[in-house]
Amino acid sequence: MGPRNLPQEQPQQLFEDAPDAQAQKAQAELEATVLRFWDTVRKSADVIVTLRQENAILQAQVQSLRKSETELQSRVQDFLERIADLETRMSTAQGSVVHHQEQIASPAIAHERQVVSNVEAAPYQPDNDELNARAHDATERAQELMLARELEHEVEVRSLRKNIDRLEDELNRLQNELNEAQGQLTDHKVISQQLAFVRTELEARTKLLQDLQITLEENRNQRQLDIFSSVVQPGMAPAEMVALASRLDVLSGRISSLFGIS
Amino acid sequence: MTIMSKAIRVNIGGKDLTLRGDNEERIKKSVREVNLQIQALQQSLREQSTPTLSLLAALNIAERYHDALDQNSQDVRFVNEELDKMTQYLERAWRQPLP
Repeated sequence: MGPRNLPQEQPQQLFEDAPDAQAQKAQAELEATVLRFWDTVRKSADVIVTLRQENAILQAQVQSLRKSETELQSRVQDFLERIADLETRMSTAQGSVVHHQEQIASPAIAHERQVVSNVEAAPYQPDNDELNARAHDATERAQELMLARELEHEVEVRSLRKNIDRLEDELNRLQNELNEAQGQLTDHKVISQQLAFVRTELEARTKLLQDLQITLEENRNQRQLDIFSSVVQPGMAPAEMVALASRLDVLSGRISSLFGIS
Repeated sequence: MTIMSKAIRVNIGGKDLTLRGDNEERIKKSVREVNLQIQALQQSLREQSTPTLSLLAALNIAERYHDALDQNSQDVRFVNEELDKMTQYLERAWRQPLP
């Protein structure tokens, strides 16, 4: 509020009814009015902020609801498609079941239809005993038909069980053969390793034998020469060579028998 | 509507005058204040003549009038400033980020 001069500061305090008092009263009223207006402005600001917050919350809820609506619509559409698919599959299955039942019960149904047609073709006679008898016969036939169907079903079940048992036996047999084949495969690996070792050994012995044969030939030639020279040369005794040859023959026979080489 | 001014008989500084005006009460109040001003000047300035006292009274009243005008300007400026502050306060409430 703007400053006002104090009464004692006025140049002349000569007016009637204290004009400065009136001015101060007007000033107080003005200040009170401004303060009341400030209160109204502050309350209005609070209302504005509250409304803005509520508006933001509502906007978020609207967005969430729109998103949920889209998701729900897609889910409903998916459910409708699944229902239509299930209805189609159900109608197909029902048609298949009806067809199958007709095929199974066609002789009995034909017989029943024949009976019914005979009954319908017969002249109407309101004889209660006859009607009761027919009803009794029809009930018995229906029971017989149901019993026959149960028996057929039991027979089918037994046949299926037999087939299952047979398949299980076959499966067990194949499993055993597979186990044997695996065992043979393991043995074959071991035998292959032994064969490689024996072949190596055989090659070494063969080479040794060839060397001995060469040495033997050389000794024979040398002896023929010694007949004329009368000079005795040291060499392998014949008995020793025969023993070595026999050992080689035995070893060759064992190898041949081991691998089935003829 | 035509407002009829009427004749008002007053006495200012010992002199009878007939005035015309629409607000008789206001005129009488103003005359009373002028007489009080003259009487006060007569008590403090006894040697001065009546025309001089009347001039001084008129000068005091004119000075008081300008004081009132200044005060009115200050009040108007004060109210305008307060209204600007209120407007800014409401603007902030409207535009400030929400918590």
